[in-house]
Parts: sequence; structure tokens; C-alpha cells
Amino acid sequence: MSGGIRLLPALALLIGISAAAALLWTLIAPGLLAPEVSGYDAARMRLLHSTLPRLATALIAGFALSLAGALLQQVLRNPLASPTTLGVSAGAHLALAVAMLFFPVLLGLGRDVVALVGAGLAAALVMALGARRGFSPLTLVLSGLVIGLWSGALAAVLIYLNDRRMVSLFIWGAGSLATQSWEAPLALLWKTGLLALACGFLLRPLTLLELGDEEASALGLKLGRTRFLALALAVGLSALVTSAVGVIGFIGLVAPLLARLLGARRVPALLLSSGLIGALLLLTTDALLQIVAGMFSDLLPTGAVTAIFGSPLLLLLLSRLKIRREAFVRAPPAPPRRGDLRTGFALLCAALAVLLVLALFLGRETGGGWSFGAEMLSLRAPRVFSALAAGAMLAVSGLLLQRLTGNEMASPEVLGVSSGATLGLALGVFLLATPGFAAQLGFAGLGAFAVLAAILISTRRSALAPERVLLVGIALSALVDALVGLMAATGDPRALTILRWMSGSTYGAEASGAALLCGAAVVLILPALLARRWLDLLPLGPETASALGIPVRSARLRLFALAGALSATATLGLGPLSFVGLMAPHLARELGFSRAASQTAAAALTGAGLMVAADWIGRTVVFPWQIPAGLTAALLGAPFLILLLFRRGRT
Amino acid sequence: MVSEAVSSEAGAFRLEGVGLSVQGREILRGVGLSFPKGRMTALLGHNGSGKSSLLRIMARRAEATRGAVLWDGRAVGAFGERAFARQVAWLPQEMGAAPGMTLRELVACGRYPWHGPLGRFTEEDGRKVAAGIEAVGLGGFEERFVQTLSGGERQRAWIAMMLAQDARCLLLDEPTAALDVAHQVEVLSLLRGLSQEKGLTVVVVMHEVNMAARFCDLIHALKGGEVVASGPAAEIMTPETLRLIYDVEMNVTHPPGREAPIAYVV
Amino acid sequence: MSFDPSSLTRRALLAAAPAAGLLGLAPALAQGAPRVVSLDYGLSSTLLGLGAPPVGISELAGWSEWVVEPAMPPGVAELGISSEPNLEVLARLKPDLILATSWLDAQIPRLERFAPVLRLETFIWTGTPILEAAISATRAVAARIGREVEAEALLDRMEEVFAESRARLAGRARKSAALIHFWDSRHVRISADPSLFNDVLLRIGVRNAWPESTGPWGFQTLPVEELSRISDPEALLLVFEPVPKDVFRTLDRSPLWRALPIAQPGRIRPLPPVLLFGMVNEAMRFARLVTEAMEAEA
Repeated sequence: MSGGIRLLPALALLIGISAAAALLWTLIAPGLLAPEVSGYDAARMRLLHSTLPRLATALIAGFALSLAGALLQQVLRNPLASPTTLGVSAGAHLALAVAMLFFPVLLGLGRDVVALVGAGLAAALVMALGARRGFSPLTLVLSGLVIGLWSGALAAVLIYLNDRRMVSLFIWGAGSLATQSWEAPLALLWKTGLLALACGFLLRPLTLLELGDEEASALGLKLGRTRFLALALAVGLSALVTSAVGVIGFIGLVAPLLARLLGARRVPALLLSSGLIGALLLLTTDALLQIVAGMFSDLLPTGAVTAIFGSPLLLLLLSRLKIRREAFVRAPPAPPRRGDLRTGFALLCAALAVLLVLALFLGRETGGGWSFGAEMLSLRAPRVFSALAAGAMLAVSGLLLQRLTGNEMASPEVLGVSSGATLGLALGVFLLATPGFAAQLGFAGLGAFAVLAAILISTRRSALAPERVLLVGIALSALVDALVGLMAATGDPRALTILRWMSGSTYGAEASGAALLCGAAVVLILPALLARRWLDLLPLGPETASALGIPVRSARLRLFALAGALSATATLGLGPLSFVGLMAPHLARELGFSRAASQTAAAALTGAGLMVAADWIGRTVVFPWQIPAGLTAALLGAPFLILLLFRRGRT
Repeated sequence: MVSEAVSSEAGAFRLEGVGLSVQGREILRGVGLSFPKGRMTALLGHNGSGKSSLLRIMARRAEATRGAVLWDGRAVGAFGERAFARQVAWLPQEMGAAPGMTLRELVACGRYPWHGPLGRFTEEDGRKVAAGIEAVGLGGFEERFVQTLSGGERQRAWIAMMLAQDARCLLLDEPTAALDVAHQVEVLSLLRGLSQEKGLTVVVVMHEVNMAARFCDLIHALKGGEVVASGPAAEIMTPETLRLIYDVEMNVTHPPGREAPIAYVV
Repeated sequence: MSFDPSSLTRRALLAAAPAAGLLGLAPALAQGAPRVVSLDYGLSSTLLGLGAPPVGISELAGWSEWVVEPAMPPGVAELGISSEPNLEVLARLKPDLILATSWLDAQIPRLERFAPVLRLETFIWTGTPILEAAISATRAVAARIGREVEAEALLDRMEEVFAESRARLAGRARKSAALIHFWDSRHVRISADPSLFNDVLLRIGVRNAWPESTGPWGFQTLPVEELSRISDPEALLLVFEPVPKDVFRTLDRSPLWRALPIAQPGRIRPLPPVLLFGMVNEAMRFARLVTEAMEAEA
């Protein structure tokens, strides 16, 4: 296997190319071979002005997105990075939602302009945050993630309150390549072409970057500038594509991984082959889709379908993927100021107590005024305590995963358990149309535990490599997003049921369920506190940990299982509230709690408080309408986290 | 040239016909060596001689494909995870970053084999931690973050953790590689002192033959996965043996007033 | 919508007789009108049509935009989003009856703690044509609140509207139409069978130019080029308002759209918005608006 072209991947590539050619012919032949018709010739018109420009769009978009993905993975040194990482599509999405609801006149400028402005603003914000720490990959990934989550949540709230007019946004979000003229692909071609050519100037600097920061700057490379330029190009490429056709998320992640798998090693080969593979993938998917679309009565947006095919592909390839370990072990952030822990805990507990009182007793009147009293206690208590328990559990689950994997992007969502639950629910909604509450819970539970079991079984053979588990989760959540996106884009009202569930509402909480959740939180968080020494030692690296006598494999397995159980329980209670699981551990650390035990406790308190506050605000701020707690939590938590990041950047 | 077998197996490592092959490539071939209690032994050899692999096998970080590895008269595989860590401490060549940990917290990690995941952190544990920090001369740095320490301080912090582990045997993979001469001397004297005063078995993988001869009781030299020389430092320090180990013409002098001889490249 | 006695027919009078008897037997209901909460636009509008305005409805804020007519009288409480009506408001309203569609099945056990829930199938295809389902749901609601007379009057009025539309369109050459709503400049929603709109078109003698039937929701989402599958040379293209600002600006630059027969000037007509998942009131509004659009000069 050393050197030369590897046989199996080459064969796969060959089959891919021939399949693409066959599909293309099937698609083009009818319009091409049909006899000449005088007057209006529908078949030829469609071929010339719809089918062909659409295929061209697929080629260009696939190339540009995959090139952007390869650039980002290279610069951020994170194999999970993709064009969506820096908040580009989330920013565009939010801009479109705002324009549609509040400034429909702006759409007259063209949706692509609005989307481009949104994408640019989001990316600029991420870069501004990154610039404060010399464009360090960690800061960029984290701020991209947070800004993406925040704008995603804000857009979701707007959609939630106005879902009837948002179908066009869903179509955009699912990435439809449909077009009725050559205008769009031609414009895209010259814009992305210029940016792609500019990448040529970065080949050498990017190669040097491979050596590591110190070594590269020793050779005279300006690290910050190189990173900034590469990121700007990647952002530009993906923003142009996204604004033109919508979100096509998965290609940019999978194509560079595939390119590596096929043996592309050096930077120029990697960038070029990623682009070509991406173009081929998107072209094939879209050609297939255009052929198949005739059989379905509804729209099949390419972006969503790509993800539906791409995620299983990623899962299949996972065992062959060689992920450099050091890609995940990054220089840790500068240690935070460590305050007096006892005072810190006292403050957190006091804040939680105040929040609980507010959430339980302070509410709105029908007329709009405020009232303080216990009359609605029986309606509020189940919601408040469900939020509390779920917030604490997800926070601890996220903390376990971040400590286990050493990846800042890890959260319960990334474990795939919540995606499994959502898939289960989607299946239920699809089979039963209007399933009752018990049926919804049953299907979601089935999905969550199926994924959990699959992860545990599949990782028993490999040595439970954390990065594999993360990629499984990412593939699964992409699959879920795509399926829901597909349903939503056709206007299918059932998609709203799933979207609501995904936004994590406490509406369905019952007294018995809330009690059960609180009990589960105590039972499951306790072992996490007891495992504090493992959690302190495992981040020292598997070598050191096992030299000290920790059974690394079984310890990891047990902690993963615990994280899975925590996230599954919370997800079944309130839905997949991924924000809390991601943010609470970061917030706890930024507040100065850095050791496992104190960080666990602080994260649990922070997560609980965040969810209780989110639920209360969601219930009161637009009363009598209600915003799901999961979305409010992201809207509240994200700016808070950015503020803390900023503050630390200055010192 | 195999050194005399030490009669007592207590607190000693004994290797019998140890072999290791990885993907058909033989890394180690029939290595038979002893590492007696209370002695400091150097593992010498040039790059790729198999010395690090041998140390990893002794530390149970890798498994020998042939032969037996005995600690205290028992096969190393027979010990439980923590039981082994109480006996044998190991310092890998590259250490984790210890994000967000203070020096004292890092050194306290060394007590894990004793208190385990749930046991109480006792006063005894606290004393061992303080002693470990004191021994490496980092007293007063307890509350500093490990990330903020200099390279030499960090190296000593990890050795302090190893000392706090309170094991009977210390295995170190090139512990002085990142240190300046003064710190090298400091660390090696520390280890030598421990082996003499506390009767610890110390095994150090090293490059530098003069440092080895100056501080170690015994030297085992490997080449191409086989033992080429083994014995008291003084016996190894001959031009013939050194040529055998390093494939370079070397000579040895005995400066007046210095116990250990000095080797130099001709 | 005020009650118009002149529209009472013999059938309505016959139906009214037993209803009056029922009212006599149930003084509690007759004294004060029952406090009804409705969690669906179609059902809310039906309550107005029956002359029994609800005390609270969900999504009141969007009423004038999506339902337009009949106007919701002042004093009705807002319950927020349909799928998660605000329980604190519901508790304060102390309703006698809650109207819900099968869409809310997951919440019905919870709602039943506040008042009995009448669950109706209105817009989901369950084998009955949507218009028929709407008619029987109207009768079911009326029976529950003692408004049978008004229900029959409402249904008669609907028949009259259909008959009038049918008569007005009978003489016209173009008697088929495709109903589209532009999501954006590249995608449309097209109404098909089974849907309320399709059923109404049949009743007023207009052919749906879109040949396919769809899933349970009565519409398809398609890329614009699929409109070239409409082969009827006489069909009109009725475009629901509002059309997003960028649509025609973009489409006018597309050779495909410019050549599309059904998109030729003279064949496109705007159509004011009508609630997609409506009931009897919406069927009448739709019939009237379609008739006006088809009669309009290009």
C-alpha cells in the first residue's frame, strides 16, 4: 500500500465517474434526441435553460464548496471543519429570514445579495473575534460555532413565530439547485473562479503551515496573515455558493475527507482533488435527483439529498479514515483567572435560586401586565423543573464529551444520540402523521438508544477513538437536518412538528415526567462527579493516564456510556437542546472552574440556570406566544460566552 | 558480557529472551537483561536501537511478542492497572499539556494509583505531593499553572508527579532531552540520590554516554534490537565497547580527580 | 358575518326545528352562549360563520393576514401558536369547549384538563373529499354548540355562491386554471387534488390545469420549469398574492419563463390570498375570488 495509486479508491473513483456519465446521458438524451418541433418545444427549452444550467451550477458549487472545506480543514487543523463552521450559512440564513419578515422590499435587490451580506457579516464577526487571538484555530472554531448557533437560533425563533411564510427559507436551507436560466451559473463561475485562482498563491504558505506554528514562523511565514487570507478565500467561496443556491452543507466536509482517503497528501493535490471530487459528487447526486424527481410528486432539494446520501457514505468510510491524533490535541487556552471556588459556587447557587423563584412565580397577565403569585404554579413547576434537570444533564454530558475527546466542538448533539432521537421521532411522524405524546416519546427513545448501542458496539472493536465517535455524531446530525429540511422544503406541515421538537420546548412537561427527570439528573450526574479523577487524568493523554494505572479503554467506554445516557434522558425529556451541552462547560471554565469536579458541578448549575432562565424568558417575553427554551438558551448563552471570550482575549 | 545475575528478584526487573516484531519487522531480538534494586541503570544506544521500545515493554505500554518480562519475580501482565502503577512509575517522552492545572494539582495526580477513583485524598497523600515538589526544587511554585512554567520547570514538575506516585521503580524515557546542562545534572543527581537513599530501581533511556557513566551504576547498550554491551559503567567505557555501540571511533580518558572516565570522538 | 334571514331556505328551516327543541332542553347552554376556544383558523372562522364568536383563538395576530374575512370581533383572547396554545391563558379563560383538529393529537390529553375537546378532521386527507369533510365538521361544531340553524344557513349560502360563480363562468372560453404561489423566483407551490381549492374548482365548473394528484396536503412544491408540463392551451395561471419582490424581475430574464405558454401575457392573473387549510367560509371566499380573477380582462 505504500506509494502509488491505491487500487480500491481508484476503482471507486472510476465507477463514480462512469456512473455520473451514464446519469448525465440519461438526463440529457431525451431533450437532445427528441425530434424538432416547430414553435414552442418544451423538451428543448427545459434542456437548454433548466437542465444544463442546473448541472453547471452543481459542478461549480461542488467544486467551490469542497475547495473551501479543504482550505478550512487545513487552516483550522480540524477534520470536522466545513464551510458551515465559520457561521457563513447561518448568517445568510438569518439575513434572509429578517429580510423576508421585516424588510420584504430588500428581497427585490435579489435574495443572493441579502444572503451574501448576512454571510459576510457573520464571517466578519467570527474573524474579528479570531483576530484578537492571532487567528488561532481554536478561537475561530469556537466563535464560528457560537455565532452560527446564535444566528441559527434567532432565525429559528423568527420561523417559529411565522412559520406560514417561511417555506421559501426552508427551500433555501435545503439547497435547491433548480434554475431557469444561465444567469446564475455564469455569475457564480466567474466569481468563484477568481477566488479559486487566488488560492494558488497560498499553496506554499499552506504547505509550511503543515509543519506547525512555531516551525512555520521560524521559516518566515506570517501566520496570522496566511490564516486570514486562506479563511477569507474559504468564506468567500462558500458565501458566494450559499447565497446563490442555498445551503449545501455536507459536500464541503466529505469531499476533502474523501480526497485524503484517495491518497491526496500534499496541499496542492489535496485542494485540487477535493474540488474535483466535490464537483463530481454534487453533479452525480443532482443528475440522479433530476431523473428520480419525476417519480416523486414533490421537490427534492439537492443540498438535503446530498447530505442524506453523504452521511451514510461518511459512516462507511469512517473505519478507513486516518485522522491525525494531533489534529485534536490543541494548545490549550491560556488558563483562566481562578477565583475563590467557594464564593463562585455560592454565587451560582444564589443565581439559580433567584431564577427559580422568578420562573415559578412571576408571570404575565392576559392583558399584558405582570403578576407575582402561586396561582399558576401547577402549570409552571413541571416546565421549570424539567428545564432545570435537562439543562444540568446536558451540561454534564457535554463536559464529559469535551474532556474525553479534547475537542471544543464536542457536545451531546455531536454524539449523535439526540439526532437518533430526532430520527426516531421523524419516523414516527412519517408513519403515523399525528402521533400522540406517548408514541412520540416511544419513537424518540427507540432512535436515541439505537444510536447509543450502535456507537458502543462499533467502538468496542476500534479502541474507542474519540474522533471517530465525533464524526459518527456529525454524520448522523447532518442526516437528521437533511431529512427535516427535505420535509420542510416541500411545505409538509409535519416538518413543523419535528422542528418544534428540535427547538426544545418545555411545553409538554408533566409533573410526573419532571420528577422523573430530576431523579434521573441526580442519579446520572453523581457518577460523573465520582469519576472526577478519571476526568482530570484522561486529558493528560492516554500514555500518562495509563501509566498512573487508569484502565483507559474501559474508563473511556464507561464515560461515553454515561454521557450517552445523560443526553438521551434529557433529549427524551425536552428535545435535543444541544446549545446547553456545548456552552455550559465552556461557561463554567470561563468562570474559573477548571478542575473536573468543580467544572462538572459548575457546568451543571450553569446549564440548569441557563435553561430555567431560557424557559422563563421564552414564556413571558412574547406572551401569550412562547419561544421554545432551547432557542432562548442559545440566544442568551451565545452572547454571554462571546463576552467572556472577548474579555479573556484582552488580558 | 551479561552482568552477574542479582540473586534477589525483589524490586528488580528481569527480562528473558524478550522479542518484539511490528508488522514483520524485528525491533527487539532475544533481549535478556536485569535491572537490580537500588541501582540506576542507563539504556544506551543510537536512534532505532530499540531502547525506547524496550522501556515501553517494561512499562507495559507495549507487549513483547516473545519472552518474559518479570517485575518483582512476577510477569508484568499479572498485575492490575493500579497495582502495577504503585510498583512502577513511567514518564513518557512527551507529556500532555495539563490544561488548566496548577503544579500542585498535577503532582497530586500521581497519587491516583493509591487512592483510586473514589478514595479519599489523605494527609499522607498531601505529604507525598509536597515531598515530590520539594524534591525537584519547585517549592513555592505550587499554585502556578503548569502551562506558565518554563520547559525545565515543567519537566521537573512531571518528575515530581512521578515521585509522588511513590513507586519502587522509575522508568524514564529521555528525561533530560529538553534540559540545559545544569538542569540535566540536577535531574540526574536527583534520580541517583533516590535510587541510593530509597533503594529505588531507576531505568533511564539516554543518549549521552558521559552523563550515563557519570550518574548510572549500570549501562545496558542496545544495537539493532540486541544487547551489545552490559555491565558496570566503568566496564563499558572502553574504546572497543564504545565503537561497538556507536559505530564511531572513540577514545576514553581518565581526568585526574574525577571518578568517571570521559569518552570523546576521535 | 351577520345572520341574514332572507337566505333561509326550506331545508334550513326544517333542520332548525329540532335544534330549537334542543335549545329548550338545555337552558344552561341557551342562556349564555358557551365559551368556546378554537385552535384552528378554519374552525375559528366557522364559529364566526355560525354567529358564535370564540372567546379565544390561537394565532390571532395573523388573522387579518391569513384569513382576511370574516373579521375577528374585538375582545377575543390570543392563545399564541396553534401547536402549543398558552395554557395559562386557557386556564384564565375557563372555556366550556375547545375545538381542535387531529393536528393537535399530542396535546389533546393536556387540553382536556381545561374543558372538553371536540376533535375534528378538516384539512388532512382521510379518504373524504376536503370540502365534504369541512361541511360535516361544520355540522358537528354546530350540533355541539346548538347552532344547527345557522350551520344550514351557512351551507346554503355556500351553495349559492358556488351556483352564482358557476353561472358567471359558464359562458367563458377559458375554463381551466392552475393555482400557484411563488415561494421564491425558482420554486412554486401548486394546488392539486385533494384539496379544498380543488374541490371548489370542481363545484364552480373550472378544471384544475395541473394534472397530478398529491399527497395528503393538497399541494406540491416544484421548480418553476415544471410548469411546462401544463399542456392545456386554454389554461389560465392564477398567482396567489403576495408575490415576493424578486420573482418577476428574475423570471423576466429567464428564456424558459418567457417562452412558457401559460406564462404569456393575458394568461396570468393575480389572486388575493386565501387560507390554504380553510373550511366553508374560505371555500366561499375562494370561489368568489377565482371567479373575479377569471372574469378580469387581461
